[in-house]
Amino acid sequence: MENLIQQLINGLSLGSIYALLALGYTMVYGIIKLINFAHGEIYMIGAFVGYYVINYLGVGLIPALLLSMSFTAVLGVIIERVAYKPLRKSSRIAALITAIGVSYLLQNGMIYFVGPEVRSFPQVVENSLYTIGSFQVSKMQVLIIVTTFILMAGLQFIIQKTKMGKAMRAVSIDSQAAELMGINPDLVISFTFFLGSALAGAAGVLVGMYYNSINPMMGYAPGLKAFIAAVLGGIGIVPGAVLGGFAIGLIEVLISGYGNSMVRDAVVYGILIVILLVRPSGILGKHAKEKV
Amino acid sequence: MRILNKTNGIWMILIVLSFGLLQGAILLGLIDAFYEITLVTILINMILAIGLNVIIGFSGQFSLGHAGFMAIGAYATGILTKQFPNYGGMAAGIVVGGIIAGIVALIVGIPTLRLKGDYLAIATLGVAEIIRIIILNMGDLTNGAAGLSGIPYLSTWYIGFFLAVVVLIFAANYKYSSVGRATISVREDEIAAESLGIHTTRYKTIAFVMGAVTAAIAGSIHATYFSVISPDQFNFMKSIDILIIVVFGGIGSLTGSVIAATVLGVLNVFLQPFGSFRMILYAIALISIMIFKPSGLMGTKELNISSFIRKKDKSENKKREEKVR
Amino acid sequence: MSLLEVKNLTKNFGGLAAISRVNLKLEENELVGLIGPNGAGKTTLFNLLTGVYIPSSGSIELKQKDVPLSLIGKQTSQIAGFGIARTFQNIRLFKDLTVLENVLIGLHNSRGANTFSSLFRTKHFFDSEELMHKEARELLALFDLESKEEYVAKNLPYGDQRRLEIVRALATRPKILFLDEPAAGMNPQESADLTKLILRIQNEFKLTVVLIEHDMSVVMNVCERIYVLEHGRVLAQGTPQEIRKNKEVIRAYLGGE
Ligand SMILES: Nc1ncnc2c1ncn2[C@@H]1O[C@H](COP(=O)(O)OP(=O)(O)O)[C@@H](O)[C@H]1O
Ligand SMILES: [Mg+2]
Repeated sequence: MENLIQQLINGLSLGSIYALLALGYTMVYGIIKLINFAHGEIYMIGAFVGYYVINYLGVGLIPALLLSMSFTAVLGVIIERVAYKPLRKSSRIAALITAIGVSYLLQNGMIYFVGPEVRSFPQVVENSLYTIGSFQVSKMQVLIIVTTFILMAGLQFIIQKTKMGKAMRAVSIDSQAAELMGINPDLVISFTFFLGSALAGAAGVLVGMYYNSINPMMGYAPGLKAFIAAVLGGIGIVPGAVLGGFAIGLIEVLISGYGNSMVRDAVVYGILIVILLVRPSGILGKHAKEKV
Repeated sequence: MRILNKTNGIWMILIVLSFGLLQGAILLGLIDAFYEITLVTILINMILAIGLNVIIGFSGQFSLGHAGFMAIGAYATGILTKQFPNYGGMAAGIVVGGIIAGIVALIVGIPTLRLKGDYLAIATLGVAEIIRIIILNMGDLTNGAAGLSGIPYLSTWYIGFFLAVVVLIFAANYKYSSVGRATISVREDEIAAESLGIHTTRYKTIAFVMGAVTAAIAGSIHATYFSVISPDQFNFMKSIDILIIVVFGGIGSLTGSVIAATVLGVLNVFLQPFGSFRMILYAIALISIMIFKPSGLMGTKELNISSFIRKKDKSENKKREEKVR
Repeated sequence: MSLLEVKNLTKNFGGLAAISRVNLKLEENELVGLIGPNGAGKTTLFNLLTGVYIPSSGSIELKQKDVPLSLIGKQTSQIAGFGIARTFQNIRLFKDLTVLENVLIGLHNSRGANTFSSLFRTKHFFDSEELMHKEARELLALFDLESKEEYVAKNLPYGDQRRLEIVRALATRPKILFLDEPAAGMNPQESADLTKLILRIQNEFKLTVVLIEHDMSVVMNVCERIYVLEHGRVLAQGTPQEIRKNKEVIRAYLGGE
């Protein structure tokens, strides 16, 4: 039982990271139906920005988070403008390949310029353990969970209360109608990339601190997992991404806690397939039947 | 025989001609041992791309798990040829690998092919990863993460060429037949196809199984040409590489896949001297190609030999089209 | 029994009853008109009868060798296999395929060679292709489309697209043909020609045709029986004379115009 609670805490912190990343996938998908395969690399860049600003500017955690988020947010917007915007009218698969190209570019660009080696992330927060009863929470875990919740609350506020957030929702429901109502879809799409990439940047810094190691290939696996989390929750649906992220984090931790960690991924994929078969549009997704 | 019409004759001549050219270039030393590796890689990729094109281009289903089926073929053949290091073992490997891949595709295809678009893509991605993880955990049979080495070098570029031609002919026979048209109708409009009595799931499954079997064949060649295989050769990135060839050639175009596999293989050779800068250039090339030619080299069209023969008909056709507008 | 019997058919979309307790009978080789204002549920009824939508309740029975066969829960492709064909209000041709290919796909189920003989190009394959091409051309000729067989469907003029859709449906050799506003978007001459053609194929192929049509003169002149739908319910049914005299219909539909 205690072990279970321990695992739940671990799962919650891992799930937070997946949820932050899944939000970026799902928001972009909701607006332009693109699986943004470069999202995992944005998160990697975020980790590296955190690494450099802490090491060379000597800033603390919060400034590092903010700097990293701003950098990745701008990077996300630039990528959207240069690589994705010209493909707005093309087939979705062409846009998907472009996203893969961007992902290769960022990954290999980083390997070329900073080298492929693993770096240890500077410890801005000493990692003390809180012992509550018979289980332990690290300060890092608390930080990750709290930061994630603050960011999600911020996101929720932006989407629900601001004019831009309302425009985002309008475009994702019907972009043509939104355009007729005077919403500039280009601006909204850029803003979506801005938000999603900022969250990825934050996730990068948090992971760097948590695992204390970063490298240019680090975006691949979590990127894929987060994308699966988004699909699991119902892609295009913001609460679905959060739900999916926590679900995947918890499943992973529970399986590696109780069983062979080698089969962990297989079980995650297995669950994914089963859920898709039972609910073909994800947990929170609506099954829209085509009007004939 | 009706098979021996003019168009097929010209295709045959073209295939024999390219075989002759390659053979000549090898005899003259223009293609050395290193370039022969490139040649076989291109042929393997061709088979993979043709198979994936049957799934994506013909039936319109989005699969991201092609490398998983390739792994099945590679391991089946690797294991069998290590036991029976001769062509009998290799033939058995191709057959067994093809059958297992086909059965797996059937089992996962029937339920998952109901899923739409991106959800299907993710399900197939998941299936491929599960296949890879199962291979990782099969103990001595597959030797885990280290993979199999010392697989007998049984494949030559002749075998690669022969099998690529066979797969291409089967894919073309499929495309230009009633079942092929039924499959394409599923891509075009599922509801209309159903209303004509076309059991859409059946044709999606046929295409999916054909793609899986051909991927296994490619895996068999891979194992017996390179002699070393490991699970991480068949990961998600490999599936993506195959997808890139299909999209670059033109979704639905078999000749496009052939050309794209060749062009990208040759491009890879030219980028070789750039060392680690190579991947950056490759990525930039990929992005630029998609931005400037998003429908790929051929679109959905085929390189059409018969249209060269029937020039006259074609101009007539144009005229008629104008009249209609 | 009748060829097709529908009892208490109901379809709800959320709170909206698009079709509500509809009863309907189709006999062999008759031409039935289905009329009603926009949104009455005509297209939804077709979608239910062809298995595109699943009914909320009610029964649909088709006479198969003198025994009734329930169509509830059957897939669209199965229902098509039982001899029910249709066209769509918003044309659903295979737009990027040629006119001939569109018709060949309609013929596939009954005439197409199987996968094995296609892959290995057996004699059976060539025979079946030859037969299919011949039949497809004959059908196209019926609608004066044979000279356009190589055209890509989306490049056809609108009227030809509508007619091609009918040819494609006929290729499945149906017993019942549902036509959803086949004359929509046609000029009066085209529309009159089409009406004649529909009568002709109904006779030649011994078809039961159900026609959704807004032009009242067409419906009154050619249909043997008429169903009037309003708000998902059958408001009236009968011969054109009966419908013309029906007070409900005059109030709800004819009078409104
Ligand atoms: N798939 C669907 N989802 C929700 N409502 C639908 C759907 N299909 C039809 N409807 C509704 O059912 C009613 C009947 O529509 P329809 O059958 O198309 O009418 P008609 O063909 O007589 O003009 C309309 O109110 C329409 O909006
Ligand atoms: Mg209608």
